[in-house]
Amino acid sequence: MGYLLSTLKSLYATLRQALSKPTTVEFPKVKRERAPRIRASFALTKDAAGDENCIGCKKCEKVCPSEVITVVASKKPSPVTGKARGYADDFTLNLQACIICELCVQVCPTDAIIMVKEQEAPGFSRADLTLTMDKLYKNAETKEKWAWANATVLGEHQKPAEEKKPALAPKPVPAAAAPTPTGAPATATPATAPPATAAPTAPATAAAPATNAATLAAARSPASVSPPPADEKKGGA
Amino acid sequence: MTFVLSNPWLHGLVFGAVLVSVLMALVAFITWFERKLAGRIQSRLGPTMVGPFGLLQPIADAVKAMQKDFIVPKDADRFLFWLAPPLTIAFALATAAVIPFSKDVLAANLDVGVLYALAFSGLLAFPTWVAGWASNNKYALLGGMRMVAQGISYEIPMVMAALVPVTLAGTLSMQGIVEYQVASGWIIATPVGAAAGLLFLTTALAEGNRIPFDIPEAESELVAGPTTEYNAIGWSIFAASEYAHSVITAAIVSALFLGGWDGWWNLPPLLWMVAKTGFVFLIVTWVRWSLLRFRSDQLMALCWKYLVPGALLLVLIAGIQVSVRG
Repeated sequence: MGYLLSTLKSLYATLRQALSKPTTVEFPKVKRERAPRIRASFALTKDAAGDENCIGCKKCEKVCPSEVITVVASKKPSPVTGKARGYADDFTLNLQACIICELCVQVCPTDAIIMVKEQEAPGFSRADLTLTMDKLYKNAETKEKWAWANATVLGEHQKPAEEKKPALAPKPVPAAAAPTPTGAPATATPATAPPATAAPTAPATAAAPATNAATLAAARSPASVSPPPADEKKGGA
Repeated sequence: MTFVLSNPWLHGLVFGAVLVSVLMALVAFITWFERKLAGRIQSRLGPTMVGPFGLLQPIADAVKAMQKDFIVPKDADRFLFWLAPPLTIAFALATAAVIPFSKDVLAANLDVGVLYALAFSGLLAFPTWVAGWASNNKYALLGGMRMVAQGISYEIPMVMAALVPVTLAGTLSMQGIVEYQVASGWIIATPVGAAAGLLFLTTALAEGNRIPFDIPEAESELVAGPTTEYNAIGWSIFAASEYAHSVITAAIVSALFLGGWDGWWNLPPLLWMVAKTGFVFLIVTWVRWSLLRFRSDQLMALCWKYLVPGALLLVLIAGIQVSVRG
């Protein structure tokens, strides 16, 4: 009887699957939209005046974990402004060993090297996978292909959390070091505070960050005294 | 035309040739259908590349199989090894002779049609055993032995399930059974008929070596069972005969239980028969891609503990019905 039931169950499961819409995308014929942050290949950018952004500082060459970047640099007058500055005479990136870690993009002081979303043609030989300087500048020509980040954007994202959102993750203060008044949770946090009945030490630990967050928020924006509920939960937990 | 139809030899020759050609063409596209359905059941698309919707895939497969070298193992029994594939397809296709596709489209209206069909269906175990024996391979031999054991066991409930429509209709002729159903309702519409139909379909699955009863083949245990040593066109013939047997079994189920070429809306009877056969084959394929293989002892337990007593009971009930009816 049990076998019969499970037979019917599996028959139903396969029937449902057979009638559902197929999820397969027939790749060579149909191309799925790429994920917004996909990174596939590299490009070297130029500034608005058409001057090369790369100053030949070799930071990318040094940071590269798989040592696939080779830069030959020299100082020479700019063809646009005429001022002498560093230039990359030759810039080679070998994609065969590249691990797509994006560290070269992160360290670039002038946002010269960036990543691009697609490498449309796959390589048919090893030479195809070596990005010479010409290929890198050519890759940068269509701006739609640029990946989402360059060094500046990545730097913004990697700033320490306290500077951007101070109330997000304040360090829990030890219970003994923070003698909080028992009334504090009730006054500072109206409704969203965690219940203080869980454990004997819970009120103190839970209350300390809550009040901490509350004072910080109050100090930053005097108009709103009560802290945002989302921050409250994180501080309490 | 009338001369052809009146002469039994010419009649058999013409209908047989047409039937075999149509069936073999159908078998090719049945494989396409099965692969498509299996793909959808498993979240895939099945064949898509060769021709529109992959429809020409069977032709590509056949051409590929014919180009390959047919290798006979060194220590195999050469004669039997060569003999097994043609025997398999011959026995599988021979069953089709008695299937009534309409009032007139019928290769041979035998008085003992049901017996003939079941006999050839049962004979299918022998070429499989021949293949297993001739291969001189342990896996093949084991697969062949399992096939014979399974074939003999499941033959009994299968014949008894087929006895129910035979008893109700009072004839062993396939055409006679269909005509009985045209006159007094499909056999599947009666409770005993429905149970017998389900039982017949189950045993036919086992007889045809289809999943969940594919113990002779049992990929995970026996490589490919009796067909382990076969490649190229030899293997293709085995595969084709398995599909041919499935299709013909579906047609027999339609004729015995689903009213055969009987239908509504004045549609051509041939169309009804083909539609019913396709429907039964769809169920068989659906079951194949949904269920797991039985263990050997489970297979035997199912047969001897449930199907044989159940079939006996159904024959008894059918007999009582007929004697009460008078």
